[in-house]
Amino acid sequence: MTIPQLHPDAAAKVQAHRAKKELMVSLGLAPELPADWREKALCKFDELLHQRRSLALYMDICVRCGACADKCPFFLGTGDPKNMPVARAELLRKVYRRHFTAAGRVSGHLAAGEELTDTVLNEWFTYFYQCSECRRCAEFCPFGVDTAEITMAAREIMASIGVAPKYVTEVIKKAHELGNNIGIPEAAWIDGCQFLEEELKAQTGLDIKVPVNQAGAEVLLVPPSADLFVNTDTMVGYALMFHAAGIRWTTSSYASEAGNFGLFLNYEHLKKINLRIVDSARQLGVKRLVMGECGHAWRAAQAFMNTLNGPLDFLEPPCPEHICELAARLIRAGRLKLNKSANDGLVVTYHDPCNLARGGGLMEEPREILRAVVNDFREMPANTIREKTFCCGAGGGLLTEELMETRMNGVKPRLEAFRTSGATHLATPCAICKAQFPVAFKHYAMNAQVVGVMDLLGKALVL
Amino acid sequence: MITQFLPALLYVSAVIFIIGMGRRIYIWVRTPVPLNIVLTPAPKHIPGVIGRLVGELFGFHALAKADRSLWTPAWLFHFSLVLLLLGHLGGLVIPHFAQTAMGLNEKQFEHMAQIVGGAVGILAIATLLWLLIRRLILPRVRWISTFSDYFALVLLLLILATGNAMRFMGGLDIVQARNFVAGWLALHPVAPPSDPVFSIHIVLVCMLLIYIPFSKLVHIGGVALLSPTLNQRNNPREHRYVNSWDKANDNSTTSS
Amino acid sequence: MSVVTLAGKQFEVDEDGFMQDTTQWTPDVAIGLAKSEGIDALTDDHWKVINYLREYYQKFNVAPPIRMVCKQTGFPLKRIYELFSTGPAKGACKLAGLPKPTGCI
Repeated sequence: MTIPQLHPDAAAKVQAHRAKKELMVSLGLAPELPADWREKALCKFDELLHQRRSLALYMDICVRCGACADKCPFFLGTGDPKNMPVARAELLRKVYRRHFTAAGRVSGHLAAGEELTDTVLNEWFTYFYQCSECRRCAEFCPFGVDTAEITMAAREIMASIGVAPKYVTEVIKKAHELGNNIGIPEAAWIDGCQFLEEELKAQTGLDIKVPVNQAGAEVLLVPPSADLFVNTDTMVGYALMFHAAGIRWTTSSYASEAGNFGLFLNYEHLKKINLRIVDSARQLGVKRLVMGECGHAWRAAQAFMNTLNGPLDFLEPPCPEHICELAARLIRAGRLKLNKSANDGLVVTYHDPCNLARGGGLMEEPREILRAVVNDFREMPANTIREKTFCCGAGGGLLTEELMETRMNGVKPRLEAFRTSGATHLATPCAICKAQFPVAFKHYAMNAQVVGVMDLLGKALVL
Repeated sequence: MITQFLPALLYVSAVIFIIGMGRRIYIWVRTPVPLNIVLTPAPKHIPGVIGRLVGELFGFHALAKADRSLWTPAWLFHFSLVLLLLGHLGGLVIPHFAQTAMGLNEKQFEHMAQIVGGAVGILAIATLLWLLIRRLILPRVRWISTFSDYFALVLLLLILATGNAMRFMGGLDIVQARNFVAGWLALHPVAPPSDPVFSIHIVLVCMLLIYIPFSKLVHIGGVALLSPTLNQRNNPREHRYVNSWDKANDNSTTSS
Repeated sequence: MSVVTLAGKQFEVDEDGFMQDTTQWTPDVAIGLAKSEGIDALTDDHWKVINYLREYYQKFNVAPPIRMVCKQTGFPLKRIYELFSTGPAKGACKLAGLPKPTGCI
């Protein structure tokens, strides 16, 4: 994608709704900006600098070479210079230099240091919630500076002084109270799964289970709750695959969400939400844990779960396993009978969710599955796939109405690559991507569809 | 006066540089890495990680992927800087050893130093100018540039210019320079060479040494390799990472 | 948060225009909110969807899965988008007085 002209403040007005008092309190966060918020924020900043080498190092070593600048989908889409990863990071760095470095304390502006003021805080809330933590910038940084780490730190600091978005906090609250982001209570979860069983019976004539809370099942599958609520074909795909492979599986109404919005707010909630999955696996006595089609869930589970709430040695390795890893394994072992032509007429390309590619290295298995279940599979340009994938534009807690302008700008580089592929269907194993793309296709009047990888597998399965 | 001042300034600068860098590195190394945040695809084993780090340190691999038009001057500049440092070491600190090691007589050695050193000196200043011009003409890079970015470039430029001036104007007595370096290292400082450019060169180098630990120039010496996104392994499922400040669940049966 | 006046009564709505207190819902609310969703007049088909959403919500305290809405109303998803251009989870829920569904949808 061509590098845009600079449009200073082009995205300055796009800001998330703030969470209200009661919501903040329910998450154990400061209800609102306290009078001494500057001191509190700097205190939290200091704490994080002592807890995370990534932050401490990335505050110091950036040389502002600009290699990352044109790699960010939000800069490419908006042209707002503060959406360049380096400039986004500088929003935090300038305060770091002013308050935590000798040069900044002595020479202030000369060392590009800046006081933490209302204006700076407002900028933080704007631009750290226009970063999807996709880490594409880090991929191209000569020092591996990861803006996601900086964004996460900034969000954590803000949360500690009562500044957080309504969307992210509301979702976290529901995850704690009901076990999933949508807020589906147990009875509705069970009802929804039964409904799918009836649908499957009508479709196939077979008794295909969509089990809930089955103690002693071999596999606990943790899908994003959106798979039951909207992306039903993905849920059906799981059920068909487990049925065809003869694996006893279950979902859990306690951990009915793969996603973890704690990743978009702070460590404490990341850990707490993550624990539900581990507890559920233990309670149900399953042998293995499989994560469904959700991007950031994979990072939270694959890379963090063992640390946050492990050890996971009561489960069989690989733990956790991704549904695509499992499916690819079953295909390789010849345990699934597939008929590719069931998906004929579809021209399919694969969109790597950021967190699968750069946060977990899961890039081959989905492609392996797609090649096995569709006849016309093609790739998007090489500099936009695998670890160089472009974010769909709504990860990182941005999937909310009021950020629509930035979302529709952020998706542009991905859509441009998609157009050149000539595909009609964009397959991706991520619920956020699946929610973002249809809006984008409509916005840009594109005749295309988004599907899950398991949706296509399910359609190709011969039962 | 310059006889005492220059060596003293150099001692002070060197101490500030060593302590300053040491302190920064100590802080980074001491700071925990709570989670596995490696950028994938990443190696599962240590030899692979070493390979990745070597690629970044010596090849600027990520930068090569990012922007060839930046990688080229950046890599050439750093490469020539390393050569210049080695040249200073060989020509000023251990000239006899360097001559013997290269199998050259004194005249051949000086001749070689003149040609190679001169070429590398020009390469360094040319690539540095390239980087400065790039910073000035690319709107997005200009937008993010701060005073300190230009300060570092200009300081390096002046150091290279004075160095090249000594080589090409021929005002420097190399024997005097070697004596000065030897005396300084032996803690018995002697008078610096009579060429005033030499003294300016040294003062600028001292400024740089003092500036490095307190600026973005701390990136020297490969400290970026402490970056967890680059130096971790992609094995969090096989190997449990323990967060040193949150061991609440640490009843691991596997070794860490 | 703001307040809207519909059919002579005042209701608190959130930033996206969703009712804060779903128990206050009356059919007049749906009629009053229809304009904000670009609907001139609510037809029987609109009401079919709205009534089903309310019925499900009263039973389960959450909006129903989209496929269930299609099945129970007999409308394919396309038809529901014709009725409510922002979709079942947004426009339809707003008119039915349900809280805004959150999560990855």
